[in-house]
Amino acid sequence: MEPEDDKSETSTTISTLPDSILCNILSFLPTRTSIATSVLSRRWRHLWKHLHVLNLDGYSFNTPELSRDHVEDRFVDFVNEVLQQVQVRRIQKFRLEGEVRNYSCTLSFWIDAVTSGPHLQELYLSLWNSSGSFYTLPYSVFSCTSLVSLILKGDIIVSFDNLQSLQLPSLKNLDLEIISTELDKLLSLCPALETLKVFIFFNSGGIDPNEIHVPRSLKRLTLESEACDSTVDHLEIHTPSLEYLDIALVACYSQISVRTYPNLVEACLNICFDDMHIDWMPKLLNAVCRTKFLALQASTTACLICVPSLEFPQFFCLVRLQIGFEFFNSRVLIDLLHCCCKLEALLIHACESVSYGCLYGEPVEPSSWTQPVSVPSCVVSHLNIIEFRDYEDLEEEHEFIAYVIERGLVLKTVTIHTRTFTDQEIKDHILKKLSVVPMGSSICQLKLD
Amino acid sequence: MSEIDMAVSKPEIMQPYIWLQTPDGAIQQVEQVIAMFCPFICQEVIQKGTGSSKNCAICLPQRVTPTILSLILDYCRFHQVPGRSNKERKSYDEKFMRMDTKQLCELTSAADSLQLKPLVDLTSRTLARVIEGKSPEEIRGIFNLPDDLTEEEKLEPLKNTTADPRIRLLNRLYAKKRKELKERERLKNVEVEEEHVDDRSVDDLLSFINGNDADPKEMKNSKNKKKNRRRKEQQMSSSLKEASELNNKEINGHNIRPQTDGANGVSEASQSNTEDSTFVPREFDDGDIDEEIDPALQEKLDREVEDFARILNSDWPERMQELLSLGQERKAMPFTSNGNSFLRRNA
Repeated sequence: MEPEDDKSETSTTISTLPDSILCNILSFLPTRTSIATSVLSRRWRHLWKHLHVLNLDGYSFNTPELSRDHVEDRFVDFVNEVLQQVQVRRIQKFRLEGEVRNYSCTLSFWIDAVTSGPHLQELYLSLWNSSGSFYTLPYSVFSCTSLVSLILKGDIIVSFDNLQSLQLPSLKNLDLEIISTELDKLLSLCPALETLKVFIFFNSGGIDPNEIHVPRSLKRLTLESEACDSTVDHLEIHTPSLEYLDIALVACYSQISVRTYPNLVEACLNICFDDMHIDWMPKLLNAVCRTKFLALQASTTACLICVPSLEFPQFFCLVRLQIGFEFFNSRVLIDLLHCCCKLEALLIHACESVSYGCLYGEPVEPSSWTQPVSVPSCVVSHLNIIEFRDYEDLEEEHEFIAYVIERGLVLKTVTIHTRTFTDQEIKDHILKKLSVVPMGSSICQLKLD
Repeated sequence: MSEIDMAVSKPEIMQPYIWLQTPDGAIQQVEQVIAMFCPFICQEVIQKGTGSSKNCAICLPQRVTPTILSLILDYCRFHQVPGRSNKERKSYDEKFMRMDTKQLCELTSAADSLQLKPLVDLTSRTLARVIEGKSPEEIRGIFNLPDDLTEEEKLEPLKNTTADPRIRLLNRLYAKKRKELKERERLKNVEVEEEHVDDRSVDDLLSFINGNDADPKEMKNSKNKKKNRRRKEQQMSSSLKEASELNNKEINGHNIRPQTDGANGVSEASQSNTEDSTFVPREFDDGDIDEEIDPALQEKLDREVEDFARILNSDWPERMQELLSLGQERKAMPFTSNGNSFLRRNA
């Protein structure tokens, strides 16, 4: 095959792609790079001007020889030039990251300009200011009827004087990782919201509503707080269509409102309660009882252990359970297994570090293995994968694994990961100990690393 | 509509296979669930009723060759299964994209003609990664693009030949404002600050805001008086000035060399120089920017710069105050309407 033929075929191929596709390709590049393609050939010279997506990266303008202010000026000049040459009203996605030291007014001009266009679908701003100053998002964003996705990160403030004539009817995706916002007011503007991701900084004055009412249309909720003194008093998650729930925070709630989520597919809970509100835990578990995948982080499990006579709801649909322990507790695990009749995969993480410090006065009692009265039904009929991380060969751990291996009639794989830096000798010893356990399932494979 | 009704009125929908014909004439049958993943095929089936048998196979667009078609069908086969996790899909996509650039281009083209947007985006992203980080020569080599631009053309991708003065104005102002702020911070305890208190009347401000397009010359007279007063004040606070070529002229006070000829030009130009002590010019030379603007425009610009700056001066301290405390109320921007017009150029 002649190389020339090959080459000419390639040239026909990319050059036969229509402008719209070439622009599509450019839209995945930083705008600076897209503009640089104008030197490639005549065809590419003006292509970038038809871009509908702007990816503006202020950090890429950093050069060591220039002062930060000078760098910023160059970036501002650059963006001004770009906005003059593209069709601002046709812009569909506007992404900007950088540091805003002196040009917040100009930034607001730019945002006003793009939000005035009827096609803006996505606005992404990531502004991290080393100077500690912050940027207030202009109102024009909140009357942008075409906006589908709003992602804000960093030193940005969202606040409202009044909500009149503000609405985000098309907004489906909201992702906030900013220092301050009036979250409830913002949520009230988004009747069609499907995905909400909120990260609360460890900052007083962070996202600090007393009430959060999540829109009823919501399907995916990720709520994470770094703060150990979160002051959310009233959290209402009344979303019948909720499919995915991921909560990681410290709950000092006095009033929480959840309902059972019938469509829930996946729930990840990393919640820490203080003494007084521990009784909310059963309520939360009840709400997620229809989930297919459940992940409980160590803090949550620690709470579970502390709840006196905790009764788990039946997890009818649970297929995969991931559970983390600060200290492995087989009693709680067995209790939980009794309630998961369809469980197929079990992932245990012992010695998981706790995200939130233990808030309980009582010391954690060391637990020990007691032979369960009856075998959990899932072990016998459904459980086929077990994975155990940070196995330390404690007696309780060993007994649990042995118990399950013996009684697991449909087990396929049991994988044990020892803690890092475990001697090979110890690993061999563990393997030997477990190999002598009679296996309930003929196809069961035991792996150790 | 129950399934039975559908079967009676549109028999082809119930069949598990769809017949496709590639441009080379070859006909093949594909499972319906897989083929229907492509909007183009979906449309053909529903709107035109083709594809139900060998005789009325769907004619695929020119760019969908048999090799490419099998790739596309592999993609569809994997992704049409609903239960897959995002992780699985991502890892499949990564492996799927391992092919040479030539085939990538063909695939993009074919996917586009079948309206399979997720695959178009996937291939476009991959092609973007091919382009990123490479020099123009390398990219031309990979895609065999003709190097048909003149040297001159290559050098001016972003040169703004119309030299929009307003944008430059804005940039200069912000630079100056920033310098001023720095000065202020340094001299927080110095009483001198108070001499800079703006004593323009509200009317002046309003007339500026409202009469944006009004002839600035009308307002010139009243402003001249104020400028004179300011000039005197500023000379007293020489410690504030940063050295710059413009300021050097001003040290003599009244003996300022005019930048341009013409009576009006003289006083205007000199005024703008004195203003520099209020908002100190940039460290680096922006003289090269000014070279492109002719002198008459320069005066006008300078005048606008001052006016603009005065607006900023008046409420900047309050603004800063607000900015430094949380829960600030958002004040209406005095020049928002101007701002939009800055950007609403002929682009």
